[in-house]
Amino acid sequence: MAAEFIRSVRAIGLKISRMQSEGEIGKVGYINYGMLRSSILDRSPIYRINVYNKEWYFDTVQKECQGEYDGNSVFRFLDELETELDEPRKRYFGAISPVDLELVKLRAAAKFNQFIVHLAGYALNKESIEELSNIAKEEEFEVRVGEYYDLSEVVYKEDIRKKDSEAVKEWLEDKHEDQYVAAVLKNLDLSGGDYGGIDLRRVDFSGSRLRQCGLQECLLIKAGFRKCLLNDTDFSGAMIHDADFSGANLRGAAFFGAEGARGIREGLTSGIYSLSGVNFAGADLSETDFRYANLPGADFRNANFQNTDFQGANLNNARFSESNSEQADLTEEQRGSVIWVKTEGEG
Amino acid sequence: MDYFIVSEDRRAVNRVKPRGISKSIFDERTLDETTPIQFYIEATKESDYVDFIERPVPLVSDRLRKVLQMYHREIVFAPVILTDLKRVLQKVYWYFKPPQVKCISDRTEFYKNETIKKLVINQRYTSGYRVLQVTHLIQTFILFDLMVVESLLRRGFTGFRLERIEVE
Repeated sequence: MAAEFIRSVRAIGLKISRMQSEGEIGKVGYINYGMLRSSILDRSPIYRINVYNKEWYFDTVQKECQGEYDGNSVFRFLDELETELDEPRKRYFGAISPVDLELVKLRAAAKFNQFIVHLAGYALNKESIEELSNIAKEEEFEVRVGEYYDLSEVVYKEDIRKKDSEAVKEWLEDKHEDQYVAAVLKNLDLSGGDYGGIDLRRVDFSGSRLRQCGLQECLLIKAGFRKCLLNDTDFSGAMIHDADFSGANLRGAAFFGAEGARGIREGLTSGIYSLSGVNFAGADLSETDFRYANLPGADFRNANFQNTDFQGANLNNARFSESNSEQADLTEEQRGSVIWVKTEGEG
Repeated sequence: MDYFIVSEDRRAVNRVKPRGISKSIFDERTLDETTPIQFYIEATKESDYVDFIERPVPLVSDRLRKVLQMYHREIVFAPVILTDLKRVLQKVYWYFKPPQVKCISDRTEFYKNETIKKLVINQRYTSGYRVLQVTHLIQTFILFDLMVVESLLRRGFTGFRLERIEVE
């Protein structure tokens, strides 16, 4: 499924490069994937790809540069659902018309779109795509997936503006309501800050230092902390669905009561659709406090567990390396609920 | 640009059917946004107040009018009250008249009696119009562009079917 999405990114990347070299379009600020319900009704679920400069929807120049992504590998299940519901529908002697079924289908499409958003984020952040790195971009560049000319989510972001650690720290400490989502704050020193309670969804902190910070009760859904220094930082009560702490140093950090539920069923009540689970692979979790954290399906492979406290934590189907079996201090019940995996390579 | 012919959804068998409307009512009077005209609807067992009624004149629900107005200032609306005598029920609808645009392409296919078999439009004439009407002899087509169509489908409006048309 991811391969198909990447193919569409490659195609639009090539098209952009060609049009740029011919001078037809300028630098690209946004690549937007919009779900088309009209095409879902035709059973050919196409996403329209639009390309914009930094003016986004107000860009009048680059509208000609368009592409398509065929979401059939995901949306065919929606068609299946329709077929499946059509049979019992007939038993009601016309009380439920095909029109009603169509409305059900269009409403369900939003959920499928969520899945595509997730798929896109996964595909784009997994590997770098040559065709995408070759195009001329604005300083801020986003790939967004969502509704056609309506809500969309950032699934990939580049931001090469120079950032000053002190200024960013001050900006975060101001605790604005809606300024941080999907920001790129890589390789900065943000240690010792009080950032409690702010909305940091999808923010990419990769490689940054965030020692002794207060991140309690933050929204950290899909946030990236790859290889960050997070010693003694407080994540208590934070929402960390799908957050990536792989390779991070979390010595002495606290995740007391943090929430990282995974799965579609969970999503129905919380509205947060997490599919991957929280990633702690290869992280240093010595002295880390996971008491009463909800981390089903989390990835703990190759992590370091010295005096890590898992008291009362939900680790259902979380993955642990077999080699950590002795080091990790888990109750019998927790031991039974996690998945032990061999550590050679990934998989 | 992508355009769609918007027509009434005949599968909705219980859709409301207004009676006694003739096109001339709206042609003769100067359209007035403040004085509604009242019509009765056919008495049926169940009435489905769909958002889009095409015949005998195009009517849209109040909710749909609000959305269409966001996209286009040039559409003329006039209030209509549909009255169900049997149930003593009244609903507000709006007669609407999209801008007429002459945009039929040479590539349009016709039947022998000169009515349109397959409509093709020329986008040179439609730019800037998200909602428009094409008239050919006695045939009229209401066209919405992709942005409007997606907006309506997202909001769950009912009563219309879509047919994608070719754009030159």
